[in-house]
Amino acid sequence: MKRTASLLVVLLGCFNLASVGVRAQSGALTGAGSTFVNPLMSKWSKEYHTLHPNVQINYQSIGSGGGRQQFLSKTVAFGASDAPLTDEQIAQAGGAANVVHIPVTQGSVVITYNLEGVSKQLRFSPETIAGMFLGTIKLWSDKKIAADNPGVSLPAKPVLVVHRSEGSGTTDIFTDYLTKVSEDWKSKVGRGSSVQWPVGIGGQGNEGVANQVKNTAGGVGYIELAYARQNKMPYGSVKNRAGNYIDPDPKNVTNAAASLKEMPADLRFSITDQAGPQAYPIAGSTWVLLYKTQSDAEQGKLVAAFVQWAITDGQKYATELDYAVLAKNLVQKSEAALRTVTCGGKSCLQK
Amino acid sequence: MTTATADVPVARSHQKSGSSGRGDRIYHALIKSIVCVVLSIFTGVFVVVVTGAWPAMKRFGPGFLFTTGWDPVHLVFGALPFIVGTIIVALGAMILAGGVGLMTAVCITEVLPGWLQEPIAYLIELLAFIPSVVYGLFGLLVLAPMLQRTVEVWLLEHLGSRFALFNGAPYGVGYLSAIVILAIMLLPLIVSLSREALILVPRDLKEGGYALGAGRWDVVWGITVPFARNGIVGAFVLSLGRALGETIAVAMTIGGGFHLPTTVMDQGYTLASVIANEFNEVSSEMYLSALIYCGLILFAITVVVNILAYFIVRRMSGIHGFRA
Amino acid sequence: MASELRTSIPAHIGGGWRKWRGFVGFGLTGVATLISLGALFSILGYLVIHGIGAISWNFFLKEPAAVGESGGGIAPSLLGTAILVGISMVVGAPLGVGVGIYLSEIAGDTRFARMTRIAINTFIGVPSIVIGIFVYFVLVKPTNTFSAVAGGLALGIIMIPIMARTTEDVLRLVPNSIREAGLALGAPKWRVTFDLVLPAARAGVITGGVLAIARVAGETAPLILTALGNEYYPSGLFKPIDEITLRILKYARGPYDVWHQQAYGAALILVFGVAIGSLLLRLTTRDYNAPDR
Repeated sequence: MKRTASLLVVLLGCFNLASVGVRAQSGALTGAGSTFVNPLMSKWSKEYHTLHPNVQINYQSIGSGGGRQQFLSKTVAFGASDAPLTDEQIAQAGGAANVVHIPVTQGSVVITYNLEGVSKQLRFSPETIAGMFLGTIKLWSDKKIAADNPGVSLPAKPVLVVHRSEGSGTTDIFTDYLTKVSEDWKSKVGRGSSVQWPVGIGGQGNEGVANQVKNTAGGVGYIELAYARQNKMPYGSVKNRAGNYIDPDPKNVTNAAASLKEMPADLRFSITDQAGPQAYPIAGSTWVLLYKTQSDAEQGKLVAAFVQWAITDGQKYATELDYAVLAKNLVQKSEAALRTVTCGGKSCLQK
Repeated sequence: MTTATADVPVARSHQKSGSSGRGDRIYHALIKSIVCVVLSIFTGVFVVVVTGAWPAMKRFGPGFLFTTGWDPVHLVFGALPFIVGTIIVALGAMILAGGVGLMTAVCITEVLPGWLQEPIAYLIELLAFIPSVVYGLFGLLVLAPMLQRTVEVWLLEHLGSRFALFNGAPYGVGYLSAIVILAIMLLPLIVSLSREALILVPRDLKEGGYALGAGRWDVVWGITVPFARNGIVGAFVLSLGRALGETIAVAMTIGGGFHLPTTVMDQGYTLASVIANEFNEVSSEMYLSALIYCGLILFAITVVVNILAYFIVRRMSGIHGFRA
Repeated sequence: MASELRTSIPAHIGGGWRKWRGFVGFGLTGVATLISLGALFSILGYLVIHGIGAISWNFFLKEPAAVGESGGGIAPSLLGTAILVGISMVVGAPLGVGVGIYLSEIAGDTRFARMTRIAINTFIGVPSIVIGIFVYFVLVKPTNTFSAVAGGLALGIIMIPIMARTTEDVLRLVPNSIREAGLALGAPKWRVTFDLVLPAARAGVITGGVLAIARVAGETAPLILTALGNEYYPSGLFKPIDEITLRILKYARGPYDVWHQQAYGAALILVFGVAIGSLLLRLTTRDYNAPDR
């Protein structure tokens, strides 16, 4: 007993020593938030760690709601969220001059489903999607779904909706889209990271929704493309404003982003339901949230360096993982925003 | 039969008499300050929980316990579905575990040969060493899909058309999964405590029954179990207390619903699991406060049930020399 | 006691009916036992079948891979569990044992003693998530970080009533003759407690400690709000830390098959570890248990 106790003390001591010795590009920080971006963020973290073995970016995907909450509570170095901070949350953070939204990637929210025996990719129109998630369309054989998919035999199975149970940026993107395309949805539910869902069960994170749809015959849910592809789950093409059924491929997200006419100065924008002919309608972005004045200068420099790498060199991993690469002008704007973050009076970015 | 309750340690009776040496004064001071630290931690827990819940308490009042609706956008929160969920899951699991567990305990003590009793009892106690999250893992990945493909489909087909109670959507996760998993978790507690109570039944009582012409089963059901009923009830109440606080296994299997259940296949939340799933992800301070309000209610419920259990167990302890 | 008897067997029913009833009755109890054992074996079976594939050197030594990729391990979680349990013991054992000593050796029939007893009995049943909420507000928010210390503190607080209760029970079992002998020899009370009573109860206290560790090693809920989780080794005690049950929770809920396999593997290690510990405990302390009835 005594020996194990002293061994433990030695171990604990080593850790304290390790945390004391901080050299350049070395240290550990924690970020939390969006599960939408988790596959990419986790890849970035690992690759960055390989490039800079003394830097550990510990990202915990707890949901965009969680990311914003922990950011506001200042318990993490950065938050990641697919829904920008609301005006109240910005006020809580000390005003618009105090926070910076840095878009780091964009991706598609896909409608994934679990239907044995249906091998062809299903097509969904906005009314159908709204109907399924409002609970007005109860069976897969419903005529609305059939109308979108002529020639496909659909089983008369119940549509089992899976949504997010916690505060989710993916939900925000999805409900933002639904609010734009369905008056019914707009009046009954509305847009938000957490809404009162008329039907369905909740999963925890994109991971949980994917898992649940995978295990539920007849299930339908909304998740980020990477999750569907990584788990070989089928997803549908969605009819956009121009009337075309668009596949959620990353290039169609780029098309959606390109259709955006105006970019607000604080970089809080939405790219759902865009006008472009090949624009995927349920597209969204993930922002890294930072305080303009970093209280911990060392940590601030680490974060800034990491984020800068992510929006430049790191973008190649985006394509591998089915996220959309940021357009050049957006990268410039992101970098400019990143440069305004100060560490000890100066910009956190070294170069 | 020796009783487990020892006499009051004699050392205490010397407390006031004579002069205590310096060593003793330090000893007393040290121990008492430890107790004070612990008491202040516990008080602190209570204070923090009440303070955190206060904004929600002010806004929603006691009506919080009786309203439904969970709207993070418009900040309307009502905890009734969670309270109902907690009761349903805990009671359901207690009844299921109680039935199976009591029968198992009877089997171990009355049916099995002596050499088999310890090993079987030990095996069942092993269930107690499986952590909550592993039960959740089993429930989420094995039990829920199995229920979805077999039991729920059967219920829907055969009873769903006639009884609205069974006319639900087969998701697998939900009340059914949570109750079954929680029942398995309670099993070792019920079995071991019931077993101890059954063993304590005096042989002469049973022999008296045999002498009167009762058969083995009648002796068991008519004498042994009734005599042990205090211990058995204590086991049930303790398991209820345990069930009320169970968080992770329930969080993983209950599906996550914010409404009152209408069918057996519904999803829901208990007070503990809604906090676990939502705490880090609240979208506003009021949401956080509402969750902590739920925590306060849970705190109150478990305190009441545990006090009840304590008195029942203590009563048994006095009569039968049995200590849980 | 005669009232306890229920001679509800009408005289005219023959022995056959009674035997049949007994058969069915005992048969049902047998079925119940099989169900109980079945639950145990199916859980263990699934853990072994689905988890054994994950067990490898990599599993024990490597950090987790990027999301969905294979080849990673749970090394930080194993280390994290050890650290968190260690911290919880530092907090919980002295405080818990101290309260146990108080309740058994010092407490008179004062209001303070009764209050203490009520507090212990109350908090032994408080859901761990409530403790997590407490530590979140008291430590995580003020220090602006999730941390190993916060997690260990939460686990330690959970440990206190358990250790207090077991210590008290075990100390009470020590015969008074030992105390009286010590006092008769002129030893001060503190010496009697520490040199005579505690050593006599040592095995029981250690048992209590091991049981508390087993209980605390399986706690997840409070860690969600205090330790958060870490994909890497903890970089300090005031940084987030991973723990084996947190990792199982995360991996079980995800959609990736490789995650599921690792969750089963981690669960296997955890259950295995706890079971072996308890078996060793049972074998080595059997002599010290309460005398057979």
